[in-house]
Amino acid sequence: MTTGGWIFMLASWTLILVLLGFCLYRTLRGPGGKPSPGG
Amino acid sequence: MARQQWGGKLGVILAVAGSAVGLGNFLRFPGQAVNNGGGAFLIPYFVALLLLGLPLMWIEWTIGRFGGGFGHSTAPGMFHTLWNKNKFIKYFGVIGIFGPTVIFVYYTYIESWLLGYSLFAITGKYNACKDHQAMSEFLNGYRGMASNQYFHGIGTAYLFFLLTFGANLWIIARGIKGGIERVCKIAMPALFLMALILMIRVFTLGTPDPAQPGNNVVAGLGFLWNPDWSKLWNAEAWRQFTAAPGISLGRLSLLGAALNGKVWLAAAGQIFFTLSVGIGVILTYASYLSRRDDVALSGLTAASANETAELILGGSIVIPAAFAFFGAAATLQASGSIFDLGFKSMPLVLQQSALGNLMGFLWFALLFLAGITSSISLAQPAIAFLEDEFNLSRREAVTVFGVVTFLLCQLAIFGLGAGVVDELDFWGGTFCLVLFGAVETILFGWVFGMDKAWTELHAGSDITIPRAYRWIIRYVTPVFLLVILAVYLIQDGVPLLRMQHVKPENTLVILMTRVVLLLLFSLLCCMVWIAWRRRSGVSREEPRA
Repeated sequence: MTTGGWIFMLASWTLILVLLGFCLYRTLRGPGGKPSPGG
Repeated sequence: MARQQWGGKLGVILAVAGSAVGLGNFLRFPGQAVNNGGGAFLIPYFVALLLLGLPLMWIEWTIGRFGGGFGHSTAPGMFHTLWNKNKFIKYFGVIGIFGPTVIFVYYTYIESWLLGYSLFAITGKYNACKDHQAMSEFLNGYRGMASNQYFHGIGTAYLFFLLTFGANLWIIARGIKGGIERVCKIAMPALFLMALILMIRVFTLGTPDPAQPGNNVVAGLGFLWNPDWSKLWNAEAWRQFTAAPGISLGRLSLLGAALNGKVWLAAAGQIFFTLSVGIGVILTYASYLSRRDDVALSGLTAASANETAELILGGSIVIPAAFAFFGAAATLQASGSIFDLGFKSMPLVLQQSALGNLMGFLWFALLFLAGITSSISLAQPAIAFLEDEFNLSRREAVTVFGVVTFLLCQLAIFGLGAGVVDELDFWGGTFCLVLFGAVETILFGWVFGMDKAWTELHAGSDITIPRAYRWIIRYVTPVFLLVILAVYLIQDGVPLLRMQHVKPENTLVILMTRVVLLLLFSLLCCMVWIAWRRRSGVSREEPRA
């Protein structure tokens, strides 16, 4: 694998994992993870 | 009748992610990347995610929740609510029921192969197949396309189809919270765990054949990720473009050639299909939320879960494993077909590794879980339509849906060899998706109006979306979609309509399939007409509290 290949693979993995981590953190930190009643 | 609702925020996110994560994440994406520039493919891929995928996610979550507030769970009612001065727009919404129903018909059959192969893997039934040719014969025998030493007729495949179809209906009949949400809450973590185990297994394959040291897992990863810039940039076409004077179609096509438009379209297509946008499923799922519930963060979370399954897990299993065992040429050849990669290459690879039968089972069980979380979502729009607009109980709606789709499935099962599945896939799984995406984007950004749309998107939101997306949703996303629609129609639609790839002996079957599809679409339009006639005089276009 070339240096470019490693860069593309690791950079895209990092980007996606950071995004997923942020989203899950904000989602689970929300008000009990429950939708409002009557939805 | 009380409307159904989700039990938890994570449940709806996992259900949308379950709908999005499917066979395409593990089989289509790696093939697309290998054939379109490897790591360089990620540039148009991320551009399409930002300009097409995420905006459509947000649009569908918002329209869904908005329409649900008026008691509608499907596109006809939602489109009518967005543009209630137009009496025809609800018929465009029929695409949002027709498309997922057509996909359900052939997807359930392919999903049933995965259930069958899971059992074959653990019992070692295909272990006698030692090369691609033998695996092809096994697959053809299973599907009833040939009678050979492995299978005599379609009986086994039909039995697994009945089991899969029954399992789908059983889950759907249990409702949103007790069926779909409960299954996705178990299936999605299990799917990620299985994929992680397989990824570790592939990464520890090393160099399977010491006589061929170049065929190893790291080189396989390089085969997928090494950037090939020539796929993104054609210097000669760029030189001709800059040298040509004025504005003309010829000059535009030179620009397309210089930027290699085909690769950009492949990336846009992959993003579109992987996120399950343009189907109508997200609209229905989001309709069970209330206006106080967030949609901006939920949409982003579902998209990022799907991208994790695609970029990290999907990119680390099939191609590196196939490359390590078969080398570059055979992997490149198999990468064009999800069936070659999934049903031929992977079983051969895994049966040669330690704990081969178990690994084979994990592979097919993983794909089966990815399949069933998608297929149950495909059934929901039609069932919700029957519940909402005709006041059918859940059980009655599932029965009607089950009878109609079971009959339609026979076309896919017995017409597979004649190309019926390809025909259904083009109309239900390609054309309708892009057309529906374009219609809802224009409705949202132009008819509903960007100010109202932006306010609605941010109601109850846990995050603030960058303001640049106001401009992107209004201008960039619809143009992107209309270009894709035009190219699909010219490249695939015209040859398909003319039946250029259909053998003369199959013409009648394909024509019959088109007549059936036309009848189904017309029937749904009639049902919308009847539903609106029934409610005339009764104003339902008032939001729920």
